[in-house]
This record gives sequence, C-alpha cells and structure tokens, in this order.
Amino acid sequence: MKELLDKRVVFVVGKGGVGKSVISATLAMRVAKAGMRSIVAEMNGAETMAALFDHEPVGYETHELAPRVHAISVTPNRATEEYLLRMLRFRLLYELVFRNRYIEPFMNGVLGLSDLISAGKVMDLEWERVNGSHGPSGKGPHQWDLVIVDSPATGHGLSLLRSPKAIMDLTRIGPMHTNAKQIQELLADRSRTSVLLVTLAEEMPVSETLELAADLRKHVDIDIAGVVVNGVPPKLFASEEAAAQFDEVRAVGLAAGGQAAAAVRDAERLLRDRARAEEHIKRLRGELDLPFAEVPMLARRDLDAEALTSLGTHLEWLA
Amino acid sequence: MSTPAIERERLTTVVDGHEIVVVCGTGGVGKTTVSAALALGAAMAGQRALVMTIDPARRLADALGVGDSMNTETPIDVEALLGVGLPEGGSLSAMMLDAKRTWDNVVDKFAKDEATRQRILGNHYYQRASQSLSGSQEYMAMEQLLDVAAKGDYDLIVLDTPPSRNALDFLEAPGRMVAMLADGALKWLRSDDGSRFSAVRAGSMLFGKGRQAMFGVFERFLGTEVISGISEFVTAMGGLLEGMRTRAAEVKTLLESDEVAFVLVASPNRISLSEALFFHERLAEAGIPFEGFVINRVRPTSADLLDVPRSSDGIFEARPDVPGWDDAVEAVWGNHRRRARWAAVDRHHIDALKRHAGDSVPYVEVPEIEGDVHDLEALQRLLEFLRS
Repeated sequence: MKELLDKRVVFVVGKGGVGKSVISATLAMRVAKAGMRSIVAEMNGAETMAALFDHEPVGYETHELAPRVHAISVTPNRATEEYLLRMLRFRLLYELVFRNRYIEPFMNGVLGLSDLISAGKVMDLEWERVNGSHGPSGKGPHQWDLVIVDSPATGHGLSLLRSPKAIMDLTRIGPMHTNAKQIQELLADRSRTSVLLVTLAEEMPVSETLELAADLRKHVDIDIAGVVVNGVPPKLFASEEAAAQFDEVRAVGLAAGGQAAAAVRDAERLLRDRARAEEHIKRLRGELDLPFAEVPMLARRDLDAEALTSLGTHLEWLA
Repeated sequence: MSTPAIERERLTTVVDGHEIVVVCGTGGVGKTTVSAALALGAAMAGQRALVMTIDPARRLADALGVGDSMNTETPIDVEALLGVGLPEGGSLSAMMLDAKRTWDNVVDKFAKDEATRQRILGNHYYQRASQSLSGSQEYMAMEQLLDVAAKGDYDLIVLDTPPSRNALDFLEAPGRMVAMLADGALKWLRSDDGSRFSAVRAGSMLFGKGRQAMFGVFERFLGTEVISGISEFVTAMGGLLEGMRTRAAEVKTLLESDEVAFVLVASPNRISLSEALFFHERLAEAGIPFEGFVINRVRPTSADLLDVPRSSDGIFEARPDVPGWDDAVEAVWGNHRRRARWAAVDRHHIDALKRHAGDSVPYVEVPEIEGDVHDLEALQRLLEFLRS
C-alpha cells in the first residue's frame, strides 16, 4: 500500500465534521516522516491547519507549519485573481474586464467558475518546481512531493472534482476549455492523483461515504485510494486473556461502588460503542472493496503536532 | 449532567413561543435530529408541528415514514411508531426539500406563459443553475417555508437549514441571488425586446462606448456560444425575477419578525464553538432574534477528572497470579480516565463559549446519545435532554 506516497495529489474528501483537516494534517506529518515535503491546500477558508499547528492564519501563501509540512488556504477570490492575471498578462486588462461589477457575479454566480479555478490552483501546486518554474513542461525536482487537498464537505467537494468536466461540456473551445481539460487530465491520471475518503463509524457518515464513492465512480474519472475511518472507539482489551477477565473485574468493581463502579460502567459503554462502530465498518467494508485505515478517537485539545505524528502510525497502510 | 435552571426555561420558550424555529449550524453537528426532536416535542405538547429538512439521514427519513416523498408535507403516524398517541390537537409532519423540484415549481408559478415555462425548463443553463447557483438552495428552502407558513396549517414549523460555515448565509443568500439575477448585474445578458444576444450591445454596456473591444477578451475566454446560451437563460428568467424578488423580501421580513427564533447547533469542540460564537455575534448585529445554542453530543462523564486517581492502586486489587487480570484492570482504568479527560476537554470548550457569549444567551447541552438517532424513540430521548 505504498501507492499514496508515490502520488502527486491526494484529495481528502468526506462529510462535514468527520475530521478531513485532521486526517490531511496527519497525512502531511506521515509524508514528512518519510523525508518528503508536502503542502496541504485548505479549500474552505477555515484555516484549520493553522489552528492545529498553533500557527497564525496562513492565507493565500505558503507557510511551513512543521518541518516539511506546508499549508496554503486557497480562497476562490485570490485564486481567481491569480489565474486570470496569468492568462491575461496585464493587470489593467484584468481589472477592466474581470473586476467589472457586471462580469464578476456572472463568472462566479452563474458559471460557478470558482470551483474550476480552485481545482486549477491544485494543478499549479502540482506543477511547481524547486527552480521556480511553472507550467506542465517545467524541469527539475518538484517543489512538493505531495499536494494534499483538504476538500470542502461532500456536496461541494464533489462539485470541485466535477467542475473541469462541467466546464469542458459548457465551453468546448477556448482557453477556459484548455485549462479545464488539463485539470481533468490530472484528476484522471491514476499514477498521479487519488481521492482519500474520510468517514466516521456512524450511520449517516457511512451512508454518505457510500453515496460519495458511487458518485465519484459515476461522475468523476478518479482513483479512490482508500477509506480512513476516523474517531473509532478503541478496543478495550489488547489481549484475549485480559478480555476473559472482564466479567470478574466487572463483578468486583460494581460491588466496590464509587470510582470502581464508574470505571466498569465506562468500560461497558466503550464495549457497546466499539461493537456498534464495528458493525458500521463491516457494512462499509462489505460495500467498498478498498484499503481501510482506522484512526482512534482523540480529545481535540490533545491534537498537536506530536499527537498528529502518533495518529500517523494508524495510516501505515499508506506507506 | 447538571443544567442550571435558567437554561431549562429558555428552550421550552423556543418550542412554545414561536411559530417558526430556524435551526442552523455547520455540517455534521446534528441539525436534522435536533430539528426533528423539537418538532416532536411540540406535537407532544398538543401542537400541530412540521419539520422541514434538506438532505436528511436516509434512515431517519425511512423511520419517520417519509422516505421518498420530496417536497410534500407528510403526516407521521406517531402512535404507530412510538406506541403512544399524541394529545388532542397534536400532530407531527415532515417535509423533505428538493432544490431542483422547488425551482421547477417557482418557474411554474411565475412564468408568464407556457412558452416561457418550456423555454426555461429546457435550457441547459437552467438545469445547471438550479443545482449549483450560489444561494439557490437557501432561496428554495425559504420559498417552501413561505408557502407552508402562509397556509397557516401549523402551530410550529421547524426549518433545518443547509449546512453552512457562516449560518447568516442562510438569511443573505436568497436576497443576494435574486439581486444578482435581477438588479443589473446580468442586465447586459438580457434582451428585453426578444432579440438575440448582441456582443456589441453587451460590450458597450459593460465597458462603455469605444471600449467594446474589451468584450472580445471576455468572449475569447468563454466562447460566444456559452455567453449567448446563458443570455437565453437569463432573458427567459427575466419575467420571473419580479416575483422572486418580492418573495425574497417577504421572507426577510418574516424571518426578522418575532414569530421566528433562530437556534444554533454546535459540537463541543474549539472550532465548531468558535464558529457558533461568530454566528451569534453576526445575528446580534443584524438584530435577529436568537433563541439559543444547542451544544450537541457532549461526551458524558461518570466522574470528574480530578477525582479519578492516576492508577487503580487501592481501588482494584492486584492479582499478579491471574493471567490477564492486571491488564484488564489497567485497560478499564485507562478508559475511565480517558473518558473523564474527554469530558473535561468538552467542558473546557463549552465554558469558553459561555464566557465569550455571556449570560444572556441560553445554552442547552445534549450528551452524546448511544448509537445513532434514527427512530422516534431516540428522538424522544434527545427531546428529554432538550427540555430537561
């Protein structure tokens, strides 16, 4: 399962609230551990990456948050400006044509260009070379060994991935079309690009993940590398021997009352939570023939660079 | 879990004192289940209640018996599902919203004749706009809300909103969308006299006389066919816009009235709560009635972290001669401490929210309910917490 680290771009996608940012950060730490440089492109403007690493908001610029771990917050406005300026070459022309108060709402509101342009920024990052050259025919080592895209929640995440095809259908010819085609080629290139699905071991996230996987297969020509099940309640006992003693521990604890009884009740709750989570994971595995990784539940305040590194051990199947 | 008395009073007010409750929050915090539970609570108090939801959990929808009935108010047989009847006058209905279908209804309603209707429904860009036009989902949710509220069939309508990072979007998006379509931003695309789209006319309107060449830059970018296709769509929509603008204004007036309360659902973590706080501030600035925070899925504790000793020494005896015993005790104890720590972390974040938002704001904490909330019984348990 070394495949993911050999890719150039990984889109981390999933329902809102399942922990896409944490998994993106975890993956970045894992990549760093392998001695490689990655950049996490955050697509929703929430600056969660910066928050996780206790860093000032990064904005639309590359910042190193930890050794070999970089981040950028891709906001549609800045990405659009950058993109159009490059296409038009002259700021004045850009200001006159696209900052026009009639054209701006048309481009973003009606055509939904911001999705395409955000996806285009991902391609830019993939193209970037150490020597500063851009474009598809750049030479020399890549600036980023892996571009990790912390995607918007399900529906919007999907429209981001569908945007190149949608624009290709609309335009058929012209620079916009050419650009969409290049992005689509990157998405469809299985040697370079993958999607990583993130979910929780719960009813709704599992259902939504199954739908998302089906939609990706139907509407987007892209590789799905695997599924990360986040926030899984841990196994209570590490060994059969210990598990076999639980009935006795339970009897002793309940008889003793106080903290001992409370500990037993907490243990029973975990056993029930774990059993339910296993059912959900079973359903997911039954329907998706993909590699799986399970990441245990953590208290959020515990999440710092060190915790992310330790979480990374649960993504070992990726490396 | 202890909940101060002041919080108890407030959430009942939400259900009893308003005709419309709008439930907002980011994705994954449990808006849909909280909305459904609030409606169930009103029904159980003898009111006629409706929950309107976008994108519900499949199983919850199935459990409520509203599986495939999109955009229709569907009565829920509470007695059959719960084994307990509702009091006299009480009823519970659910309605699932489908943006595309609502758009089609809007076209039906406002199109001036059959030819216009057909022209819009058949337009390629209409198909696209009805799915992805920014603010479209929000506009459509409001459109339905207004329809249902106008009929006066319900004592309480609970509206579960589309997930958004900035929940105020829900209020502003419809107006923005209509303004963009109606108020000039796209005028250059419209031909009000029925003639075809003209690049020369559009160019001179956008860039002024003598600068029409600018339009060429734009045109080369997208291609003429795209622009004229969209022009057709915008022109056809032109006749609808007056109606839509009136509706958007009506909704805004309604939502700012005393009949409506806003409730915000958040998870007990730093990021979700700071977004909740941001939302609260924006509502206050806009003078919109805010009824409270529901902090959902708070991890419950059976013990205060400070009371849980680091080791189980003296609580469980050591039995080095029994294989597995010491490991089992350590695992049970480790889990106990971990849960106490989770609860302490959640508490820390909730306290921070309360410190920032102040005492005048009602809070309700709902502990993480075991398993998924996917039937009426689970909703009823959730409701207990919302009320207690």
